Amino acid sequence: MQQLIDAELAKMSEILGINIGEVWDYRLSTATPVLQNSGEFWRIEIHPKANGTGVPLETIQTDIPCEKGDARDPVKVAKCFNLILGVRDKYSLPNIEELKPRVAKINAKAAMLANALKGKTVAEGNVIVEKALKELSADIGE
Amino acid sequence: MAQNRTDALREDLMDALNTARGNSTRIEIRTLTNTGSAAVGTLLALLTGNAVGWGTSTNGTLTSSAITADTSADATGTAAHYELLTSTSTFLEDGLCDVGGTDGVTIDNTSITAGQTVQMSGNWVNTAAY
Repeated sequence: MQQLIDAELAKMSEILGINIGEVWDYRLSTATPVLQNSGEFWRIEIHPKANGTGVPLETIQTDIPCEKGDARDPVKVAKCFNLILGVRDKYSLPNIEELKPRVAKINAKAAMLANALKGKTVAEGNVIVEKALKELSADIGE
Repeated sequence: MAQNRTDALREDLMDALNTARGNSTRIEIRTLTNTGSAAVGTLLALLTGNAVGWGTSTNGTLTSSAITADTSADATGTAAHYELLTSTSTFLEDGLCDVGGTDGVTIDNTSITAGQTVQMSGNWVNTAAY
């Protein structure tokens, strides 16, 4: 039990509250989380990826107060991310383990692209993307 | 009554939009018409705004920097609207996809097949009203 607790604490300590990818990869899930910072308190909505109506499958009401300009508050977001972790696995795709290697390759290429596109215009970026896509196609066999 | 805004105010409006969208913004491409709510329709693809910030605002016009393509669309369907969320997945705005245009998500083909690449075909430009 202590090992499990330690593992969860280690995972939580890695959460920076910067990018949703820290806790949820939509490619591995049937749903996507949306944070809402309107009203009195932040809430987390879990929506289906397909055929969404805007009505969430699940809503987690937090006790984090909403304040003007707090959409990227890393402390508040990190708290939300921890709550998201608590429900993530029940929305995992059934073949998640099979998908993970392919998704990891796609994510690695996306990260490389994002780095290469820093500060570039769309026109400059498209040249870089075209080149990278050819490499990716060869790499994942598509 | 006609409304008139100074260029300075228009600049401020676009600066605010630029800041709110921020870096690594999530641009979800979805089916169905937007309603002002998050997660409407089926999520087809996810593009990502520039890592150093959304774009550049000049004279009341906000132009996006390069946006990272989705190299493998998640589902098959007809792209109809976009939803824009912060990098942390806080919902900001939605709007219709523009095919071959210059306003909002401009993609060359709205017929998306799972696994294909989805990318911008032009700049994402917002112009503040006068």
